[in-house]
Amino acid sequence: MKYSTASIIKRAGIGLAAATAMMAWSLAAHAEDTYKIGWASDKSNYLSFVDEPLAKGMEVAIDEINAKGGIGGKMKIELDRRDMKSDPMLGATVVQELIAAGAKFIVTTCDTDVSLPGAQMAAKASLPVMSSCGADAAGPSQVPDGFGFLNVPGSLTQGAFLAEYAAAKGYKKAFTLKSKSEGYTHTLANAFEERFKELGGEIVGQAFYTLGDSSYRVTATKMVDSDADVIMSNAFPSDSTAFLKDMERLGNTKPLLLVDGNDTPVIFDAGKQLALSVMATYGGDRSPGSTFSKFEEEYRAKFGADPDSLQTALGYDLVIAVAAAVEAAGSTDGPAVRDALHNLDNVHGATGLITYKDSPIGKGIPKKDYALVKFDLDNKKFITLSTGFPEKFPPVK
Amino acid sequence: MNMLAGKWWKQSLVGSALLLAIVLVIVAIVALAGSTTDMRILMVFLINVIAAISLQTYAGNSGNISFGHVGFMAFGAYGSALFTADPAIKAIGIPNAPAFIREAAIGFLPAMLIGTAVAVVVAAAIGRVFVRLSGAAAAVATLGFMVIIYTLLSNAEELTRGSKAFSGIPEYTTLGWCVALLALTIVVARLLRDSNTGLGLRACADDPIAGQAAGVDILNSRYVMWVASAAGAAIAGALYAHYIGAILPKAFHFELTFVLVTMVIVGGRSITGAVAGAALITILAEVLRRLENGFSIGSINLSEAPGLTTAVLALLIVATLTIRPQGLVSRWEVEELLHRWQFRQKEHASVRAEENHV
Amino acid sequence: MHLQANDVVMKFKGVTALDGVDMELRKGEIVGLIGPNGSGKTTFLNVLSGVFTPTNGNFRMGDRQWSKVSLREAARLGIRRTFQNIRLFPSFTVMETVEVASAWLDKGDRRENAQIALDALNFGQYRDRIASELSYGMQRRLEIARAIAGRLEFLLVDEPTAGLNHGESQDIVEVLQRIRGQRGCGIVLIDHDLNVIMNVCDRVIVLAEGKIISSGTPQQVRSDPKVIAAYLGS
Repeated sequence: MKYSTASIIKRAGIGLAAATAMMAWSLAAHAEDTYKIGWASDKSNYLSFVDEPLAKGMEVAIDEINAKGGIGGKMKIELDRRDMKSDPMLGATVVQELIAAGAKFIVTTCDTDVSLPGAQMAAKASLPVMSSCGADAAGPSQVPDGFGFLNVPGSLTQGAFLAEYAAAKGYKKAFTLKSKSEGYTHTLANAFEERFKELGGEIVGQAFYTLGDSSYRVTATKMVDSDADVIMSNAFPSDSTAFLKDMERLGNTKPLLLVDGNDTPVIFDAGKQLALSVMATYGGDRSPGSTFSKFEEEYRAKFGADPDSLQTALGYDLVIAVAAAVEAAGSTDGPAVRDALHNLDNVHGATGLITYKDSPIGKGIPKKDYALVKFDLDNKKFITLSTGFPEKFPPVK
Repeated sequence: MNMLAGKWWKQSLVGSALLLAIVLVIVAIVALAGSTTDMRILMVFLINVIAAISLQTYAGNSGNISFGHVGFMAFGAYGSALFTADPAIKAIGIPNAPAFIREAAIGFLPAMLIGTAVAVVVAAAIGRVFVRLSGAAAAVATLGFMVIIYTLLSNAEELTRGSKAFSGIPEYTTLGWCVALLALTIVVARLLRDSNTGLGLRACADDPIAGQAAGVDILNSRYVMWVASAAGAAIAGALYAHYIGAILPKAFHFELTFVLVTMVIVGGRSITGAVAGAALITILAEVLRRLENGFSIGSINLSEAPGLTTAVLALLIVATLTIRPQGLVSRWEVEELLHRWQFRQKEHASVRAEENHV
Repeated sequence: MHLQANDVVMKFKGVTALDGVDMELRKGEIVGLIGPNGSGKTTFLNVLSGVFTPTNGNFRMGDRQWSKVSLREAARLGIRRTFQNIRLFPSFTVMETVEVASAWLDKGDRRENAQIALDALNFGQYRDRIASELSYGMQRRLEIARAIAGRLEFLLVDEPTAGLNHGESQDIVEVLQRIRGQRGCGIVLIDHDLNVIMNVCDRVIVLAEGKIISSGTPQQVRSDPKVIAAYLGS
């Protein structure tokens, strides 16, 4: 389960403390001095598992900025996060509600398709809108007038990144697992296949699953029996954990490539197959003095624990990028912030440098380095192997 | 005057008018006193009422619940969306779709009729099998239908962009359209329910042997309701698509099914029940949602309880099925409820009069 | 018009419930069907009304002939019935219960027609009551009202006085006689109360172990030694 009793009590405690703090603060502050980020987020449905850690990362960034007096030292950031339950209709309603509540920047949930009605609502009100971690590179282009943004470089680049890694490792034959239930779960694998073939690799098999499948026995048997030398899975929990367990039962020894959707502690339920796996994700540069290590310190100070997922770093990035754009725009006006965000260049985020300017991927899509991580099963930690960005990737379709 | 005397269709029309009047009062209150968000909730409510009444036209009359009607909503939504979306957007989004879809840019009403016609054709084609099933088998089969439609749409990349959002749908759905189509839905649903077909089918839902011994053709009656309810669901789907502006298969899946089925089960077995259920669920869900987001007093958030809505709705179904399985208004329509209430008042009055006399 | 059943056989998993029954029913006649428990009386009614498809046998009414008929088709032919264990529509009002039959088996205004059937059983002030909330005796009468709305050639009545007191039973008997008189239909009556049978029936048919062992006027049957043997036990 997502929430243990202890965590609920803890959350309530934090909530109460936050409420008291906010009450004291709200007496001193005026609305004009704050920049409200409205987030139509999933708190209770299937995307909450990524929005929850993202929220924590956002809080860290907001605390950091507000401690320095806010954006430009004078405008505090306020986050208004409301549940849209991964329902596109409710998503649009919540965005409208947030706009009415004075939000100047809209964040939607971690799926550009589910988010789209809300994003279009924001654009209609001339407000910039960013999906919390949605990865469909075609997402921003569907939002009118350039108001749409992603927070991640998109599934096409990630697929290509994994393909380039596989080719560099000398793998020749790949077997892929994908699902048509969502854009994310097949466009990424498709990009992997395209780039892998370009680099001389061969796709020896493709398997499809449906979101929520519990048995992968047939798929796993095919994969183990195939002559593939690497397996690329586009699944995320709980599908990926079920898949990896079935692979373990069949005694798979082939290396596995996983995607950033697995960047959550839940993945450690998958067991021993993780020792054979590497995963593409974010937050690569962890050297002392890096933005990531600074973020981790602040996170520990705030939540008393290590970031449980690297999605937290993406949350941090989002707020940092928005704040930088507002500061550069010198205004909270929607179109001005939009234009400034499109011109953002090499801003230090927790996952590395964030650049929206002249994006090689598509307008509104940031260029950020990927990290390749392996799994430390004993300590349930991700260990960075390398960071980078693909040389080439398929065009947005 | 006894509202229940005279020709049955007169009673249907009187009942429809009463029910519509109640809905219009709600519309007027929200339009005058509500925020922009409240107006959105109202629009979604009106669309859901049309869907719930349509579901009720099958479920309430046949006694078989259907988990498949969001599939028909999806036909209405995609059918109407595909023929109205901006050709320029379609050229990018679905470049490999047939030209008559890619280049189409027709009006709301004809597009809605196309979506509805597709749903009706599909319902008519598969209906003969579905109407032979009862109870759990019928429910499971409709669930299967819903999943099949969802899977087909998720895979129809060339035609609908598959699991990705299909956007660029003109936002034609206005309050006027919603109210007009709701009025039409109520009247048609009431006439169907009260017709010989509807009456006979409801009798068979109570006792199929006795119903058939009274001459009822149970399979054909179910078939009529099945097809008609698919048409209504498709209309609701078209309104949905043209309100939200972007649709995806996931919007017509378990979540919406759960909401509609809850409305119908909690409401009762009548058309009035579908409206009452939809109103209750909408109000409850909205109150809970606002509680979940925390009371806002200034900038103080008092509570955070994600998932409360779903939990309460699930509890409501369980409570209804155990405590009041007949639903909020049971089998009655609004004019029958009024009549029964008057009747009881008169009985009380006569008892009182007798007591006074003694 | 006659309703004729020829050589009707009904077997359930090897048990023979009806074993070659021939019967001729005439309109305007009340026929009593009696016999010990398990003799096949209700099974015969079920076969005649289309609840069961007989293993063998055929039927003829006027110029129609059939070996297999559905409940609904039988009703449309005017073969109407009540049930031993009352089968009403529990959520329906009295009026609606009868309206179903008027709607499906009659022409013209279904409410007017239903009202006529209800008036025949003196249901006037009860029309808006819910069927399942009526007294037991009223429920029996409502079943009859439903069975006489619309086309009526033969009325099959299964244990109409079961569970009723003497006054109520007498009432039912009078109702049946009145219906026969007004509608000219044939009535087949199954009843445990032999007094009822003997008082009201023009003709009595006795079944035992799926076969007709005797038939004739009440007096003839009463004095038939085979009947006495069957009833007193062998």
